[in-house]
Amino acid sequence: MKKKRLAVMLVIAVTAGMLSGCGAASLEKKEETEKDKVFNYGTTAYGPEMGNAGLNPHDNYSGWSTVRYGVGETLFKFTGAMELEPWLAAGYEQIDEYTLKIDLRDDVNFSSGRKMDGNAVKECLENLIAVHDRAPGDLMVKEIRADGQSITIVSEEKVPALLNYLSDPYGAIIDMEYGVTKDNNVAGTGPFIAEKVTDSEINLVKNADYWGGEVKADRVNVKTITDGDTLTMALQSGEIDATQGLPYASLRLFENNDAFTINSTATSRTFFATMNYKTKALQDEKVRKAIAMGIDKESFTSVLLEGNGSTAGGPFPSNFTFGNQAVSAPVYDPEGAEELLKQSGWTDSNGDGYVDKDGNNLSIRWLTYPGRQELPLLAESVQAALKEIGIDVEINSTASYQDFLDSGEWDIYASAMVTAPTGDPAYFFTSLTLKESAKNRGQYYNEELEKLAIQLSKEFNIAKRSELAIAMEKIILDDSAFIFASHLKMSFVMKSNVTGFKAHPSDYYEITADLNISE
Amino acid sequence: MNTEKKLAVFTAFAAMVFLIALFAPYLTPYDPDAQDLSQALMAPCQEHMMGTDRFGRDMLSRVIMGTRSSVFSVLALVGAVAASGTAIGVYCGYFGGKADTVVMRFADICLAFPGMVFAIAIAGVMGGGITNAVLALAVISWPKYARLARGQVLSMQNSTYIQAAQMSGSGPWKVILRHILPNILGAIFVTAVLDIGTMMMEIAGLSFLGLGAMPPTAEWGSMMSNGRSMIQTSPWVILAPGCAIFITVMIFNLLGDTIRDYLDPRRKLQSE
Repeated sequence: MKKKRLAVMLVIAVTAGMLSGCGAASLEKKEETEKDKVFNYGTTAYGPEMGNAGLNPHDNYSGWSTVRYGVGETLFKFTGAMELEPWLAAGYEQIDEYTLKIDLRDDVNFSSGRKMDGNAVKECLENLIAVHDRAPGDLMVKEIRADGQSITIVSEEKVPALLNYLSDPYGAIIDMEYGVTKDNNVAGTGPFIAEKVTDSEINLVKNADYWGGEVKADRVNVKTITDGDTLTMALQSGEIDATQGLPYASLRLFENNDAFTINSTATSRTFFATMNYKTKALQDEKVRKAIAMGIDKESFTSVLLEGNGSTAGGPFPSNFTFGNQAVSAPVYDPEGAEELLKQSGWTDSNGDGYVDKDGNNLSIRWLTYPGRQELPLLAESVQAALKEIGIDVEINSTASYQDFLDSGEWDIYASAMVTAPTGDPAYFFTSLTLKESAKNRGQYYNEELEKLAIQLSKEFNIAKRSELAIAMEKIILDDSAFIFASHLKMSFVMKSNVTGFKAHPSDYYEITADLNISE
Repeated sequence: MNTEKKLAVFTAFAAMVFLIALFAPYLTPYDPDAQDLSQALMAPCQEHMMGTDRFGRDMLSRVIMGTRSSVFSVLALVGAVAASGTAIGVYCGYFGGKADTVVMRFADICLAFPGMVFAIAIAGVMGGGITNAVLALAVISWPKYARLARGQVLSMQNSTYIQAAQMSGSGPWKVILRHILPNILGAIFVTAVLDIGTMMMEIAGLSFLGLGAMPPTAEWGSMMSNGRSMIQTSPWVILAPGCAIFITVMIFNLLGDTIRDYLDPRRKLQSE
């Protein structure tokens, strides 16, 4: 009998406990929802496939996430006209061609509570050049000295674009004493602090002590939604408040719609193809040129991208002095392409519709990835266009493209890249085109280009840098080492009650202190 | 409608689908792979009865051509798994022993995984392509036939006619080929026909996920995947292949049901 009573009492106690727990939790959650301004942001541009998962700016492209989602800030930032202005820095002084002194703001604290001073910035930059893949080659740092609220960077070589490189998201300043947590969270200086970081979601809360003024939104949830249609429906249903990366077909649904606002800007994100010089057929310059001439970039941009971009000639869009207007790329000319193939001995000898030489058809393995919706479209468009001139294109559009790149199982790799993220042309060339470039995947080499790159690395005069960049662009276009298809117009779509959420030409800055949601 | 009539109707429909697949290149009004960007996303009209996709390709031509890749790949798949699964099941059931234990435990492992997830994993490792999709589905589908065939063999192994055949000097293979196989083929055949619809959905599913047919192959699943972003703006791009899958799967499912009813011994007893 006693046992039964005890059991009954236990059941009642446990049930009551569970019910009270539920009640408290739901009440707490409700209070939080009602009180807070929560911004739910869906994006296709975050995650391992993009190489930017986590918030550690010293890892691959994760700095983009640090800066984009308002956790970290760089010493300098870009204006809408892609000019530099101080951000965490208060000013700078170029002491000589190798020495740069940067004064830091005195009113900035990390979210860990530590004050941002010269030592903190020195520790951060030293870690960056110790562990990052691109930064050491860009920055060429010999020594960093900290002195109160300033740092002095001494370069091994002349680095005229040092300020630009420091404005790359990898230059986001984080507290190295706090370090990087297991889930790749960091303590930055931005308007938001990450509470939870996973490969698919980041939950942020406002930084109440933000140095840059009042942060208007209380919470931001960044969610990866890689499927464009899910993204579209999430925005339509109200599950998210704003998005970037909508399929072009979906953009039409939000145009001329009072419930939504679209904010667009031209960017230097370029869709381009890299030739693999290890592929025997592509070692022939005429074959490479024929491929470049066989691709109808204009139709791709106007029809398949539905005008959300501009046709590319070179790597940079026309708003740069060294942009498209300064160079001439091979134009769409299928007859000319066929002639070039013929000159190289590629003819359709067996009448199967594909050109062949020594008994082998000219077949190209076109590697790309579906994470950027434009790339599979480009692949299929190219496949049809090159078939017209007798080249067989075998498409491999896969999220595990890196494995194929590593194993060398590709002939042409199509990807997207912000070619002038620092507003300076050197980034593109140093990242992709030189012998020592970290991402020179096609093993391209041109002696003249290497010489010009050395000149560019030492040239401080902006006009002369542009001239050198144009000369370098001409070399890679003459070699047909790369084919530049289109520059992206980036669009943010948001509910009409969202303000302070604007697309930036650099593609770096998304969540800022100005982000607000009205009732 | 009685079973015989239903069987005739659905067989005729299935034959029609098969003939469309067989003669697809002669039935398409346009080249299914030819792009014409000036005609992109045209709504259904007299010139293009099912409209065009974003590349300006005629949807009707692609749906017709898609019948070929969808139907042939599913027939190859079902044929392969039915044949291999039955062979394995009969061998294990008749001879038993360690081979039976090992093979059946392996089949248990295959069956323990959620089929489609396992197929996605296999197709993901092997890479895209319709052949790899068929292979991935074959790896997960054969145990069903093996178990069915093994069960049937075990149940008839002690039958007097099998024992009589064995006593009269027939070797194991003769017994299997002349006495066992003919008696289990009906069940295998019904299962295979009923599986056509399911397999078609699974192949289309893998293609939808980008693990099946690769561009520019016209395959219903990949066509739906390519058109899904336009479901609200250009619905014909996704509806055309979607309807094709729906109709074809329905035909083969109804055919399977009817064959099962037709071969059901109770039906014969009732009619007698």
